[in-house]
Amino acid sequence: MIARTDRRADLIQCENHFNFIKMHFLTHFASHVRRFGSISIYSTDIGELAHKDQIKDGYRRSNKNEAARQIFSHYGRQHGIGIRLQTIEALSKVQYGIVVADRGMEMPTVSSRSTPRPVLKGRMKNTSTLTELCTALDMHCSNIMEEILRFIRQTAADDQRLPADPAELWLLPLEGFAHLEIPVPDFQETDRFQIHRARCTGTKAFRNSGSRNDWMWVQAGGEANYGDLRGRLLARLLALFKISNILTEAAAVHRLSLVGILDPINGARFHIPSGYIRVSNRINSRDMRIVSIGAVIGQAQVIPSGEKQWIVNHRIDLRTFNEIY
Amino acid sequence: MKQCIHRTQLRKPADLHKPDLLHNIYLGSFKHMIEWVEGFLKKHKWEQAFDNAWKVIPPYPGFSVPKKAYREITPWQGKEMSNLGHCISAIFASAMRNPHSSQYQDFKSALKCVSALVDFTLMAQYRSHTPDTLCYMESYLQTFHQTKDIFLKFHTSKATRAQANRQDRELSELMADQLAKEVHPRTVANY
Repeated sequence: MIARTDRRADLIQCENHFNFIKMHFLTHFASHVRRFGSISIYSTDIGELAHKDQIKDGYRRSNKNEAARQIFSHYGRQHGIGIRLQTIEALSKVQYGIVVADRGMEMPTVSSRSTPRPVLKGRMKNTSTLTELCTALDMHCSNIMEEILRFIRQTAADDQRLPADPAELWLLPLEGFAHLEIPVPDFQETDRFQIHRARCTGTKAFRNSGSRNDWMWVQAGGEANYGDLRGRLLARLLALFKISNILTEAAAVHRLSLVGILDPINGARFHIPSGYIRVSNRINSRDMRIVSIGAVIGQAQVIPSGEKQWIVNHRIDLRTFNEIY
Repeated sequence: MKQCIHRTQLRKPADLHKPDLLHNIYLGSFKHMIEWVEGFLKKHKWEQAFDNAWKVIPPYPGFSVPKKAYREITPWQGKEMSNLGHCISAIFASAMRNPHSSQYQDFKSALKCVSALVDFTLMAQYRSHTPDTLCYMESYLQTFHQTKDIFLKFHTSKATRAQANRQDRELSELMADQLAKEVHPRTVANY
């Protein structure tokens, strides 16, 4: 009997082949792009999704009695409102451009569509000074203070700068946050942004499950630094806070974040057998760093791979895929 | 030749092949790829490592974190497939991070094959192309075809199985006949 199973497996082995139609179709993709344009515009998933939007939703809203007519009118209404909203949006942009020009300010109309700023949300309770923030995060105060001082020394010395004296820093008012919304430009689109919602709940639970401190990309140098990562580093978001320098007249508000930096292995080159960049925890002690919110570029995805090692998943979206290769 | 033209005339333009991400890649190639990967993991006993890596995928905007274990997902629809495409190769790499020296070559080419197919898919989703991106796309496809042989033994279609069964039956009948002749040579000789 065993001999027979083996023989059957052998027969199947001999007959196996990759000669099926779906494999062959792939070879036509590139020529299709050359002739007719990008593939996604001909993809049927749009049509299949439209079945829900255009028909099923309409049917659900109807009274199920001679539904066809109601489905049509429902979709017509939705579509009409959609177009009208887009028109209003477009008109408001044009008007804004004109107003700017009327005032005679030296500002080109293009810059009226400025890139949106990252937004801090989810104010945390009991984080009004640095000491309280440290308690909330369950971290040692001196470590954070050291990093803040290092950050201050790097910034330009003007009246907006935070005081480089620890005694003064302890007194400054501070607000802790748990949520950062970063607008990331959509891939191959202009003026469209995808919002990355990064959470940093510290030690607290996020939606009845474990705490969430997301992985982020942090701009840490020029294009030439860090090999294939092109000047970016991976970091875990540890804390988000606003600190305002009330000691000076300008009372400038600084939006900062505390991140735990990961070190790329092998100079951020692709690991040859796996084809992925790997990162690990810092070996020497200084793994935390204070960066301004603007240096946090967007979310990243890393997949754990062994003790304190991670794989950077650059195939997670088209943008990352296009930037890291 | 005549028949060939005659046949094409009967075809309507709607019957012609249209490159389609949903049916061609997600529900076409990826579906096969999953089978290959499952077979490969089973052979090398990496299933558990793969499942463990699957459980801890962190969230990402535009990517829905799977709520179920890998083997519990039964409806593999377009959305699940596109999700899988974004993470399968990284999870595969994570699951096989410490290959045994004898498995090393297999591991390397299997991963290369999966990554090439995923790369091709990602590239196909670009909204605008340059000659360079098309070149990349074609080279990924080429890499995929060069390395796919590692998965050949895990790709068994229904037709193949049916044919193997038929051949198997024929062979066993033949053997049974021979056996009968050997056991009863005298009865055969009497006739």
